[in-house]
Amino acid sequence: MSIEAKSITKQFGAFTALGGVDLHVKEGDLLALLGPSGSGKTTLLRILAGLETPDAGRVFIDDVDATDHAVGDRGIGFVFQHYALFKHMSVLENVAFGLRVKPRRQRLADAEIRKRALELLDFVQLAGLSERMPAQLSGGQRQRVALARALAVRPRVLLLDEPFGALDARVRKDLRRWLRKLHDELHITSVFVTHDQEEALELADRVVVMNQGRIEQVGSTDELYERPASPFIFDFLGDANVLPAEVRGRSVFLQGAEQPIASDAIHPSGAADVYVRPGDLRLADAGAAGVEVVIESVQRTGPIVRVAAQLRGGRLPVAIELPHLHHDVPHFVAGAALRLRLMQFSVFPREARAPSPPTLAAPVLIGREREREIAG
Amino acid sequence: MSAADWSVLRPKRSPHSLATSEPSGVRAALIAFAVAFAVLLLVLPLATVFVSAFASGIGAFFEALSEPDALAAVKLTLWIAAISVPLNAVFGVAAAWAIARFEFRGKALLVTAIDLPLAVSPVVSGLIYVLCFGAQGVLGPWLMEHGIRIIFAVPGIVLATTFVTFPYVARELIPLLEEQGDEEEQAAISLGASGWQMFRRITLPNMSLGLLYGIVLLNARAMGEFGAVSVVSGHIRGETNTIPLHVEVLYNEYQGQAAFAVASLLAALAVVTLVAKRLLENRLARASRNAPENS
Repeated sequence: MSIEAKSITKQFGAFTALGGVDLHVKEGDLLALLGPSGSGKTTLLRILAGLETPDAGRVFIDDVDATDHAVGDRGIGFVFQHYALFKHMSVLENVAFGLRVKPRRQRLADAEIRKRALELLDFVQLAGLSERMPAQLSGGQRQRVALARALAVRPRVLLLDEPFGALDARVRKDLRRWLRKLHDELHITSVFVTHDQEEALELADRVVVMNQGRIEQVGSTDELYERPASPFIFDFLGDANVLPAEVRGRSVFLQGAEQPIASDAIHPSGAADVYVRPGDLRLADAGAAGVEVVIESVQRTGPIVRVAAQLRGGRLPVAIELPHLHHDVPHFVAGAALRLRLMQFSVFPREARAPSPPTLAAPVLIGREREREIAG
Repeated sequence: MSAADWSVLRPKRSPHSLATSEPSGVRAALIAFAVAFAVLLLVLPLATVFVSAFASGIGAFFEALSEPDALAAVKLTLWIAAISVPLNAVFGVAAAWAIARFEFRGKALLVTAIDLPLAVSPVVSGLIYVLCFGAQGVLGPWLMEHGIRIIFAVPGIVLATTFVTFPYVARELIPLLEEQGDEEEQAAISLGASGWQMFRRITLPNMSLGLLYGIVLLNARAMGEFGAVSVVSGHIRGETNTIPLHVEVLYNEYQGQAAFAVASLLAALAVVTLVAKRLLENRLARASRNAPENS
């Protein structure tokens, strides 16, 4: 069961929720729509479901144009952000609802409907709670009732809107693993919306990153994290230091210090920004090669040592994270002048900080310094 | 006045902070004033109705009620309520649904129009219909030609009552529907329910308490309306007199005891309404407390 969206646009008054989005979800995929609020991810999900109509563009389900099909005819199961359980019905009746409202000719016998609903409750590990009312359930239990209810009509596609958004961290983690297992068992094509990058990266086969009504990048966890297509994605997927630099030939110059670019992509010379994660930075003695920095403070927080430093030249703050076993850590005291080494970084042309224009979206450079250079 | 209403006067051991609590003297004075005010303006008159109704004994009380004109008034009042209550309940549900769920041109106008009967004096409400359907009215000649009587007849009373009681159900349901949101309805649709199935199985059960509450108020007003009905009814004894109009007629004829006997029916209705209202309010409060916090 595949879904495809072709050049979908959607406008809410003056606000562009979606500005021409193309999306292809392969059969059996578990795909995450990831983005900050207002990026259009929920609108896209609702358009796939048929709960919202696009201004332009088509939605194909299994290569059939389903744009004009009603929600109930699309063969989708939708799990709402706040579950939307029917509060005046028991858990069992909630799950049975989709079977009870079928046209009389397709409807199963009462006993059969009850049996199916009980089976589903067993499947989502809520066997004993069939006669409870939704108000008597915990958040995680409600979430699973919502899922069982959506699965009852045997949907070909499962769409989930912020499925873990309203749960506390502990339950969220458990439920996430459970949902992954469920997907591996059922192989039902699933799309879920989230603003939590960790959730998207952990749960999904593929992640679609959205920003301002557009898709910024589609890829696996590794692709997104290692080769972010835009400064936005680099920023969104984790902490980032942004350092002004200059590209000349095959090198990046950071405060006068040269960093070779270990990538085949051609990069236009000129002003650029180096994006580097705190964990991809290392510190070396003053004599070594690297950018001059002065340590401002050192904070040991369990497994990670956080170092705040300043670039000598521009007085720019840099955040560095080191594993606590790092043999040099004891030497890093406030006031020490050291050298900063960039293990891995991305370079974006300076203009690209604005939403990426098409010509600049492609050349993403990853500079890598090999570990032995640092050691030596 | 139901007994439950006095619970507000009982001192509560709620954890008020010292800063917001008054000295005990001030508190006692305020409570005494409120009680005196309520007794003077609410309890005493209500008690008077019942005392006067039975002033000449139980026999006279039942005699006043079983008199043909009184019976006709009771019957007419029940008829009027039986017609205008369902009419306004259906309209109220439809209007509240449209206003809470859809955006459309003229929505603000509709919301304002619903409030019109509350803003305008009932006498004016009655006059509107006289001016429209009366002999000298806009549609009067045409109606006369076809032998349709509206003013000074039952249809006029139904119209006036319906107009006056127009807002009760809608005003009760609009905020309720807006607060509940439409996620449950969307869920029903996404599970394959038709529009009607969604309405019957999800929307209606969710609004049932609010609807009942609106109907209780609507019914009380429909049975007790005086001003608008007085203008259009023509006061034909035994034919177009409702209970309130009949009370007035009796009173004007110096049949004080009979007037109070009939009036006690309305007073009893008021007590029943207040009790029902109170019970429904409790259940509504409990229902919204029990609602899952996220839906």
